[in-house]
Amino acid sequence: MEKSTFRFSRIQFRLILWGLGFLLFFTLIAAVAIGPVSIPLIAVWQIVRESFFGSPSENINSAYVNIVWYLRLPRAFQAIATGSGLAVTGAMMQAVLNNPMADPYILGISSGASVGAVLVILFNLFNSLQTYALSTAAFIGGISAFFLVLLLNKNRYEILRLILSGVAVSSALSSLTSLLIFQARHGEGIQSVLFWLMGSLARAEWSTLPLTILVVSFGITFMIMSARILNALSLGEETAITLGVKAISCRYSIMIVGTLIVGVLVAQCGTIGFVGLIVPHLVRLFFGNNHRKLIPVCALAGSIFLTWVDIACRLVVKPAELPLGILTSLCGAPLFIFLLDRKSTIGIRKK
Amino acid sequence: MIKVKNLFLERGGNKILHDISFQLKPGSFAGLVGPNGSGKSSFLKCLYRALYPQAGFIYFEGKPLPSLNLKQTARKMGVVIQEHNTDFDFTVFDLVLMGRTPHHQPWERDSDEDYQIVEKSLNQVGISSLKNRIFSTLSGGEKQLVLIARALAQQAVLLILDEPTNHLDIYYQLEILQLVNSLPITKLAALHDLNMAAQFCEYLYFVNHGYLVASGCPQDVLKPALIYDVFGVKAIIGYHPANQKPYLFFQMEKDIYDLNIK
Repeated sequence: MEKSTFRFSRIQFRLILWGLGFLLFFTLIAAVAIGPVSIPLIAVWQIVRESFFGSPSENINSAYVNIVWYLRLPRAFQAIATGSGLAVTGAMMQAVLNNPMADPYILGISSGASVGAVLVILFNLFNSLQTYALSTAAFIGGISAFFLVLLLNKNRYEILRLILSGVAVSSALSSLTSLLIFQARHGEGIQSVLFWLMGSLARAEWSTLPLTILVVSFGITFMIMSARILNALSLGEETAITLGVKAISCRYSIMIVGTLIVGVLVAQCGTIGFVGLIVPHLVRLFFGNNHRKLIPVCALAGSIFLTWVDIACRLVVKPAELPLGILTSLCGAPLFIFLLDRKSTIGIRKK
Repeated sequence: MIKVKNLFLERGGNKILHDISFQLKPGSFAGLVGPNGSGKSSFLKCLYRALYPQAGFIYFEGKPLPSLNLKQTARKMGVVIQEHNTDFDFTVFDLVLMGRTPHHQPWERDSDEDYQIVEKSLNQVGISSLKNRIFSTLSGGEKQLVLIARALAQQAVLLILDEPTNHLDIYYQLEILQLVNSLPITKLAALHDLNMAAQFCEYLYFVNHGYLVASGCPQDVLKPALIYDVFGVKAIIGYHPANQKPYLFFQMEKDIYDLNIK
């Protein structure tokens, strides 16, 4: 008779959370120190401390200051916010749509955002917004695609219909994006469009971080607080109703919060595939499906995973860098398949 | 306990239920019988609020059902639905713990009292040894027991079961119906096996094409003429040798043919 490995005691679970938190802190330091130019940890510490309380003193190498304070640190925070946001919304979409194949982009958000971003990059729309033009357009595009999907399901509440209309809207908008790229004249624009489409954290900067972090931490808190509802919904609509959960309205409000998170993230970093699919499933292998544990662990694991992938992106082809989306799928997929095969040997499910 | 008056239900232009009225006596075990597609499941869905009837009234403990919110009914009504497939793995303990959902705000933690209630429900159903197992790895009969334990953890006073013995071997069919029968709460189950229904239920409600065609105690409901009308099957009524409850013997076409030759 096999036993589950899911049931950690309260203390064990707390220790695991602390361990992951420590690992995240270590990851943050690594993300700032490691790169094409390695920076000694003491300098990193000095720069962070002094920049935080005003401007850094003269005796520090100003190139280091630029790299640490203006490039790597905001980028590391962006990676943490993006990784945790995507992992948590992935877990939540899977529960709410009752489908293990669901990912954060399943309801058309990324393809809508792509149309917005491509319009800005290739045709200079929203010029008046300057540096925020791209993210604003992408956010609006993503959110409108999501609401289009909702509108198509206004009077019907079947999950499968919702997913399939998400797929339909996604593919229609992707071909619109392709059409726009095909029509475009200048090659340089196409290059940056491709970079955006494949996902990257290179655009991270201090000015947009507070909003991103605010939205993501609100979203994660909301999901942790809705853990009971997510549990009930993942058993299916009817069971949720018999457990006293207003299945349809809860599903929509959770989806809207999820979309808000993904919308903000897509606007900043483009489409980063696979994180929202692989991280929740990896965490499920070890912690089971109880969302009270799943969501916080996903948030930590997602941010650690994405930050390390981003570090790898900067190192693999230095001094250039690889789009993040390529590496997440490239290293994510084999790891995922390896673990799926190991599932039986770690004693979680034997049939 | 629960009272239904003139219930009508339509789905996608098809009339599913016509003018159904009935009343459940507290503490009794009532069975809902009838052919496939007769409206048994739809009727239960109206009671556990997965479907909304177009007309008619349902009163739960004297109050009209729409005046109660889902949480209020979930604290008193446990449901074992027919399809409980989930792609997500939960341990038996966690699944039974979800029976505590309606007793909490979404953000509240589970208390020690909740854990005690879950242990007690597992004990009552006799599956304490399964509590660390993963639900999807259990046999069909064990799964049903877990779902009944979850309903008990809800502290339900009314238990609704939609064909709880479907696809189960005879051991689990008896195990589950005896367990349900022994619970000191009101029970309503849709059942396929007329003989099982006759053995365990105090009352039977016979549904056909969405109409309630007969109701009462088993010996009044299970008449060969009615069985033939509804199922198109010839039956002979006998009695169970041990408890004298009605027991139906069905005639095979082959037997009738053999009889005619002789």
